[in-house]
Amino acid sequence: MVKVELKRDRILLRWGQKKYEWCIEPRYWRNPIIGVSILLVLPLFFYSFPHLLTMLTTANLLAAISIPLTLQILGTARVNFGPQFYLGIGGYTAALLNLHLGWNPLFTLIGTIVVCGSVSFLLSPITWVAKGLYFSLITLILPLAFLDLTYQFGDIFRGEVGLFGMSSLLDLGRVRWNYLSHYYLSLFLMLVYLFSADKIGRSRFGVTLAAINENEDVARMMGVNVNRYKVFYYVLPSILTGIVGWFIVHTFRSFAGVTYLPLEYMLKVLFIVIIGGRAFVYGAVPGAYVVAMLEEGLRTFGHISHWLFPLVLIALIYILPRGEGLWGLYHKRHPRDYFPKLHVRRE
Amino acid sequence: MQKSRLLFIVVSTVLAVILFASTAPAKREKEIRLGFMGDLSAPFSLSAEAAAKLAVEEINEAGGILGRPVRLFVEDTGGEIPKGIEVYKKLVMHNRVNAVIVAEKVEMGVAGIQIGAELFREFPHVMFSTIGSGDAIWHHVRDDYDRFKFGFQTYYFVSSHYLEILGGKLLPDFYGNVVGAKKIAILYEDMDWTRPIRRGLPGVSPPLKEVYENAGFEVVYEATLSLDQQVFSSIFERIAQSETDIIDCVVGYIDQVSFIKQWVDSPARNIPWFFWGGIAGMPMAWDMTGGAIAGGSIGSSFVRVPITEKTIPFMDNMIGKYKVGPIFGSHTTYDTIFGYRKALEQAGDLKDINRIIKELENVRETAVLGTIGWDPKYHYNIPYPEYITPIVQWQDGQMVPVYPEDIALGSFKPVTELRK
Repeated sequence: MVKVELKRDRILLRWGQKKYEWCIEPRYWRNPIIGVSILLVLPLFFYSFPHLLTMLTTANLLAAISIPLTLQILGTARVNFGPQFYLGIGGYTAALLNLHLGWNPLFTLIGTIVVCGSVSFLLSPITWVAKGLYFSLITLILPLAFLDLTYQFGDIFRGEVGLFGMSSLLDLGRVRWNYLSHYYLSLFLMLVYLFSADKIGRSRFGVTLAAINENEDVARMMGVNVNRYKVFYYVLPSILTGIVGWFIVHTFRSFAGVTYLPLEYMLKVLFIVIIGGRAFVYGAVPGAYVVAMLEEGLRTFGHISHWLFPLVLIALIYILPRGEGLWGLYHKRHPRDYFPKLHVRRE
Repeated sequence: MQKSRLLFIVVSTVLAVILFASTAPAKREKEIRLGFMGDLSAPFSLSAEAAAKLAVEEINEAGGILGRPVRLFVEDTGGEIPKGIEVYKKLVMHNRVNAVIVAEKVEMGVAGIQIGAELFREFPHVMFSTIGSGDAIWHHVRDDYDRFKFGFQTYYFVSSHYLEILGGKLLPDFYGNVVGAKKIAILYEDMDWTRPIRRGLPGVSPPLKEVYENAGFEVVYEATLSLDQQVFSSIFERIAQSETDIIDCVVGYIDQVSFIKQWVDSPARNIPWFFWGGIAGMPMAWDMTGGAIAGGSIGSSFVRVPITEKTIPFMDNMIGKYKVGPIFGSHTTYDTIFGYRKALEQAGDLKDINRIIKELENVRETAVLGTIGWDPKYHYNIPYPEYITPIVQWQDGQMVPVYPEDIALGSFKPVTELRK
């Protein structure tokens, strides 16, 4: 028998020994709802500007790479300098399965999850054996080594040309509708990541996340199986990043490692994490949108945009509250909004 | 000022700039619109951009195309495929261009032809890839003509031409009769464009090694260089041991400056080399290598040889008006626009895209490097002897055209003589 209780700030559902609760106090949900609503109606203003719609789609995808990265940074207490490695693995897996075995996007998604999961699981012990600069260096090398492989095994990965002609995720018959659908699909993907990360942040898992991030030794003393959690926080974000690669393959329909694996792409993702706020998964969304819009806006300045863009990004890092980025700015103005907050070690 | 307010102002300004830049004036019916996209941080795209501007300026000065002015829209991809796709959509769907010129490496050409195929039915246009080498672009047309017929590739050679014309005729003639070589060492760079050359094309041509052997040469050494390779000394030692007469370098993107600097201090220092393309064919290569490049040969279009009446004025105008040197990709971009003009004039109007494509398949127009035109079936541009890239040798700080004979301005000299 389900028992419903109405509390001051939440609704409780009790079913036997189980309990489910939903917060109804506006400060828990008002601003996230407003934020998501803005993202939902945004394409209506850009329907006549397909390139800006694509820019917004790219912003969603960048956020979808940055959210798992933030989660990984928090959960492993290490900064991964090569998040695009799994983007490459996911993208190439999906593309190769689609092109050579004729798998449809659903099956290539499963393949991507399996391959990214297996590779990241095999590599996860690096979270035990390396930390600090050593971990960052190892993760920095991985995508660059993979980029080399795409040239050395050119028969498979087609080197600088990349793979192309993969089947589309969705075809609504008209290009504008397709681009609109790409935006909403990318938004859906990004929001799923965001809410999953939010759920983790609010759960007991989130407590372990904070504990590991704060001090691994203390977390161990508290009974947290640190190694197991670190594997989890390495593998899960890697799979999520790989899925973004899968998405790119089936929407842009061409995938070249030379675009996604070099340092420039990694820098963009790290900038998003820092500008958004490196302790906040939510910060990845405004971070990605600001970086994507800045890049697009500065492009109108012509050749100088190539040095203006990094300069503005550096200026933003300087202007924004250290380590807390855009989300920190928001949080300062709305301190009563409840979002799970996890402190990042500063040393 | 509060940081949040400052940030708000910055973001609002950026948004305003984006929307302002995106609001193109309504298309004037008489205007012919050309879209140009390239990585404007890369020298080859910058040079191609200047060439496109020059071509449009000259065409407008001569009365436009079919009496209509031509307008050029330039977009920067930053070398990133997602941005390139965004830009392609902007040019075709928003700026409503009649033709897109993708003046960038092959991966962008491939992304362009893919996205162009999606747009073509609703937004008829043609696409020209003027820098992307290799076969990936024209293979689209070969494999699915109806879907990719709007795509054209203008580059110096495609793989079959590399093997049949450059490797099969020109270089054997150059090595045998000009250099006087009997033994060849071949170095390839590990890139997609060299793969058919290394392995051959089934039904078309054997690998380059066999091509040379069939022409009477002895191939004494073969190696593949990684793109990020910086140290070549062991390679030079083996080349010297092989007693080759010439080093045939099937490269365009390796670190040529390091290669040359190490060559001049290696046991292979007296063995001449030939690069198929790259920075060694540009004037600054002499200074960049401190003169170590003396004696090296390369296929370069950056020489003042009047291949046609357009060659010298093109080079002078590029430097005079745009302060940009005509490096690879600029000639092809310039020639492509004039080829497109002629095809439109033959078609008579812009209404029937299929007619324009048919005209492009049959067009022939005088170009900077010979004659521009495209293969009617596969859409790559017609090769040598129609489209020419001279072979030059570095002599006393100058690139001296030494082959083919009809455009040569000097003779090939041994490396030892040039170092004196």
